Amino acid sequence: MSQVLWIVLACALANYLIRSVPFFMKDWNGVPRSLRRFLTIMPTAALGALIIPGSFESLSSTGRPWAALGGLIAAALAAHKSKNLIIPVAAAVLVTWALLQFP
Amino acid sequence: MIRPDVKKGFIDALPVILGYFSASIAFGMLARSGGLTLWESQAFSLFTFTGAAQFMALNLLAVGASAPQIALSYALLNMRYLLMSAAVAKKINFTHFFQRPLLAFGVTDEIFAITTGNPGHVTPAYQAVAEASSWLGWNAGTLCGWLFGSLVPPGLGAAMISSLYALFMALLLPDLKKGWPWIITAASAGILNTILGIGTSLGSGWSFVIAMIGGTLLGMLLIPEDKPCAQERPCAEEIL
Repeated sequence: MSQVLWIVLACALANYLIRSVPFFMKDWNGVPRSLRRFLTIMPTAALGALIIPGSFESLSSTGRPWAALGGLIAAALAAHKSKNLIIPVAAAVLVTWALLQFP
Repeated sequence: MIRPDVKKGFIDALPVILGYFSASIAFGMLARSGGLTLWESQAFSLFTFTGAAQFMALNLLAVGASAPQIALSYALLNMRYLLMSAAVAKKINFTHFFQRPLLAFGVTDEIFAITTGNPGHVTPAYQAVAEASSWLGWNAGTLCGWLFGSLVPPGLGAAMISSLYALFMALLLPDLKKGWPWIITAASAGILNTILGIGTSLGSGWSFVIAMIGGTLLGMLLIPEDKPCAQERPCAEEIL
């Protein structure tokens, strides 16, 4: 088995443990209020840290990382107008692609 | 005759399937250009099924990180699923114990959003269809990206990665609409992540976790305690 497949296996285990433990937890009453509040706000911060700087870094090979900003704005506007997730995805790909085409 | 919950699971997941397909084409392409074999690239999507972390793993592989380092970064980046899984598990009307370990596998940011977006509870069949079809979309895209990625023009290939960030943005928007404390929470986590990534040698796994915790702590100071939940989707505090 290649080195990479061992890495995949380790990642899969780590990932599955995190996802499955809450499925077997029955009682959340013992969880302190401050921790629940932390867990409530955490996804907002997590999404912020996922988008910045990852979206810009993902375009670094094109030499135009700023094009990601156009894609993000397009996605936000489209998500504001439509509940359907396809729309922001399509809008972001289209706008990012267009911004990468400029001479 | 298709059961209505099965049908709804697929319809709800359809945008996610298409978004995943497009983002994972980018993953397959990047994996191949990073020197991964078809099976190695596919194994990532088959067994881990987690968007941002897979892209991060490619970056870490490229800089020669070790297996424990990559697995640890994976775990840290995916720590947010502890909360999301808890919220999703609470929404499902389980009828058999074996459904728990199976349905735990497919919890992603987007699945969390569509499951918790349902009023009331969902059936295990709904959840299974939504998760399995998203997983198939993610894997089909990975396969196509690796096999046919060279046919995609380079500009379009780069633009397709943005579909992953568009999905994140669409998930974040309901929070941003709630006002400045929420916007500052998300932005500060992003800025902190950037600063840590550029200014330190922590690696993206640790930078992400520190930024996420830092942003959350700031949010706990700024966000009023009475109404922390979004209108659009139920939040953990209501569900837990």
